[in-house]
Amino acid sequence: MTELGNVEVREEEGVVVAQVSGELDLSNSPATGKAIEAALPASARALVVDFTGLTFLDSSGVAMLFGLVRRLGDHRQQLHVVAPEGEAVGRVLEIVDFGRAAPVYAVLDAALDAARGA
Amino acid sequence: MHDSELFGPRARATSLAAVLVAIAFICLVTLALPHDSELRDPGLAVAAVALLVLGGLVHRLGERLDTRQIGGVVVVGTLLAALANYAVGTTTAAFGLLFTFTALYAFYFFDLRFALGHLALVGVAYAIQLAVNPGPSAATRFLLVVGTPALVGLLIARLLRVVRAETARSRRVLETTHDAYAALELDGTVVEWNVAAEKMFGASRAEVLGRNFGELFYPHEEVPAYRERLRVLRDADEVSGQRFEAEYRRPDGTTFPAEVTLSRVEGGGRAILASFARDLTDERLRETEQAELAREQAARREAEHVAEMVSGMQLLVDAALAHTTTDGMMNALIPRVRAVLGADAASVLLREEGRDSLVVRASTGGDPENRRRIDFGEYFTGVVAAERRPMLEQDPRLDEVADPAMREAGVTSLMGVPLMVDGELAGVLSVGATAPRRFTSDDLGMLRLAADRVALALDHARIYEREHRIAETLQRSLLPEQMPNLPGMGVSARYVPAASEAEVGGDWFDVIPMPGGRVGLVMGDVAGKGLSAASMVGSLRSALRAYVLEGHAPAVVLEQLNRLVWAELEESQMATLIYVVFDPVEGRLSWVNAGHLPPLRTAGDGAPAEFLHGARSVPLGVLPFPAYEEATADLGQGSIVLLYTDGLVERPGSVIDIGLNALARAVDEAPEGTDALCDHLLRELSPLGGAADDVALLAFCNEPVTDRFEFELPAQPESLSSVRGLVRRWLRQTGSTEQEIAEVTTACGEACANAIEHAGAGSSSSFELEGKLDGSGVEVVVRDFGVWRPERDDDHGRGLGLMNTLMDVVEVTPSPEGTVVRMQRRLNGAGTR
Repeated sequence: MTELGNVEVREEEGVVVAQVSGELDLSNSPATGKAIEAALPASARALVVDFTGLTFLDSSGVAMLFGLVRRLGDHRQQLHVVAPEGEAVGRVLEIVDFGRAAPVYAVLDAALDAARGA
Repeated sequence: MHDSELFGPRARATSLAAVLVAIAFICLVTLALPHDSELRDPGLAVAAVALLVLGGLVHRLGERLDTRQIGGVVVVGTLLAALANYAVGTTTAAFGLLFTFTALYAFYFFDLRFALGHLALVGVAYAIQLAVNPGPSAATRFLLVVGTPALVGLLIARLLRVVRAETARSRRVLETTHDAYAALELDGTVVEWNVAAEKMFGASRAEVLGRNFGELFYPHEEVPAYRERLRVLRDADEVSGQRFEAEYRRPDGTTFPAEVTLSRVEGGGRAILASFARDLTDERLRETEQAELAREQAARREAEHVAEMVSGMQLLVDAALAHTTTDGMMNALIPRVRAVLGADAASVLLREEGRDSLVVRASTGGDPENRRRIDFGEYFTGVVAAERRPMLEQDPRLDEVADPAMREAGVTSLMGVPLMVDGELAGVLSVGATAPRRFTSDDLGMLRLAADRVALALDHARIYEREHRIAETLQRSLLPEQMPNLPGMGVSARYVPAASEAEVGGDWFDVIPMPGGRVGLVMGDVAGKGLSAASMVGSLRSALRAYVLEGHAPAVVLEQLNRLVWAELEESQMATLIYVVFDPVEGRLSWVNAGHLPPLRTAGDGAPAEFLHGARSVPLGVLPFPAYEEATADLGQGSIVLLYTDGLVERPGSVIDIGLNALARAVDEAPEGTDALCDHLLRELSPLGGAADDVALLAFCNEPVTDRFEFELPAQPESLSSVRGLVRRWLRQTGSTEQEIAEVTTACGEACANAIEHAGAGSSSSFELEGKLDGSGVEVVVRDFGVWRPERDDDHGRGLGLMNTLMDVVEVTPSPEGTVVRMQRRLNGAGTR
């Protein structure tokens, strides 16, 4: 991982939370995706990708998210994404209409509630 | 010595005068006495007066009369005596006197013929007298009986007085001389012995007279040789002499050397040996002293020669040690080899690597650029190389062996010695001399000694050069070849190695582009020189890059580096380093300084430059856990930051503050731009003849933002963050909103990501990014030189979709040469500029 982006993964009650900070672009999105996948146990029910600390996201990061959606689907796991509204990252997710593939929340707690509830 | 001169011309004249006066007196007495009437008075008187005058004249002239004149006087006197006798008319006593005189005088003073002639003359005159005149009278008879003996007695007495005086004079001469004089009988009996002889031989006259010289003064064993010498002289017919050196022994037993002249002298019918001896003791002493002096001088000359050679050798060694490069050493050595050997030409030929040929590497008198090649076995030097042995050649064989250059130089004596390094032939040292100098085998020995040292120095120089070359190559490889093209900033760097002879230093710098458009800039100096310093630079550089790319903050990066240096560096080694992070988007600097010289920042508006003194800490490798703090400062547009090493500001014998002040002044006077600044500083601050230490310079500036920009970036995903930083920084000046900036930045990122993908993974090609601002909006053009990929899946479609959504106009123009993406967007804030 470079300083450009950083990812921290933790697990709370069967829910894995991946906090991604910094910027995601072509140079680090694939590696970030792999790191999250590797940290995701098969036993986990859901994954929350938290973009609260992310300042930039481009199409490669979006592609990484879509990739996660497909992998999780194979294991009957759910993906929840946190992206603050009105910020650059949320705007990109909005433009590509990511909400069709997985739910996007403005705050982490909402995403966690949804994940646990599932 | 002639008999007639035994008593000298004075005695001869005096006696003759005496006889003439005596005859005159006889005449006058005859006139005075009563005499016969037949006496012819007038004639007698004339004869008497003439004889008196003649006698007086002879007495006065004395020794000035030569033998012929004396003879004339004798004849005239005899005729006058005869005339007087005739005048007397009877036989007088005059003839008795004349006869006596003849016997005494003529026989003694003149040769026999003259005396006999005179006797005959007198006899004839007397015979005529007897025939003409009657017998003598009573008076005459009385005179003849009484007067003649009386006169003769008086004459003899007179003669003896003269003779004694002359003898005494001769003896005085002998007595006063420093030479010992001895007169010896032919059998060696001493008959004369002078004062000098008494002193020299330590024996008085009384002791030696009548005794045999040889038995007295020769050692026993040498007496027979002495006798033989006397025998030779005795048997010799005439005057003869010998000159020889002898060792005499005094009665007291001491001996002395003498030079002796022994002559056989005939005198008075008896031969004697005249011996003159000169004491050679002092002379021998002087000779010994002189010989010793000469030996001493020779010894001194030898010592001086040896000293000269030794100092010559020292010169060679000094020259060899003072120069660390082969060329420098050779050029210093050659004139000295020439001087030490007194040669007219000297040259070193080195073997070409892996070949059987030599190349002239250094020579005196010749053109140093003329690197002639000589094959083994060719010419004299080639033969020396082929046979690997010292050789000495002289005229006339030289014409066959010397190479043309030597022959042209008029060389007539030539020596060559192989230079052996580790048992391998490394070259040939050769010297030549022109007549009259001719080399000897001693000179060849000297040249061999010189060659040993040259070979040794050569070995050292080669090792040094190899290491120097490796170190230099290593260091060069560690320095960035080319400054990266960094959006928003200008970077220039210079590295000037120390002047040729010194070792490569440990100066280094690096420029590390970081994600987000930030750039890490490093300037460091590892203590020490050569290979170890260069390899340490290598370690530091790789480690620092790794730590930086891991995303650590500057202070952490330095703490980690310090841990490395503390663990790895040898004791007493240390390294200074300054690490600066520049964020062109924010126009901010942050840095950590590990004991390095402070960066210098220009204001960009003409105000004086200032040193950034903050965040100073100890060098790397000094403490195990130093605290590195980070300092920050703004870097306005157009401002330059200069990083440098001590080689730029340190001068021997001068305080570093002086160098820093000079640097600040030079920076203030420098023309605009980082490149111009670096050139200006090197020109102004480099000492003449090259720096003693390495100089490294790194200058970067916050480039002023303009309406247009154009960049070429590597077609790699890592370029994307730089693009975003550049675009954000560029748009910020327009007064656009953060959302507008974010959207344009995202669109530009997508276009550039496409360009990078078109180039293919791991490509070394690049793409171009161009931006234009006008009154209402922004236009961005991205050009790549790869292959356009039609959208095959959602992922790529999303990129183009983003661009289309975020920008007002998006045109994609693919072509076989590459793809051009042109995008435009109105900016609400743009119009306010």
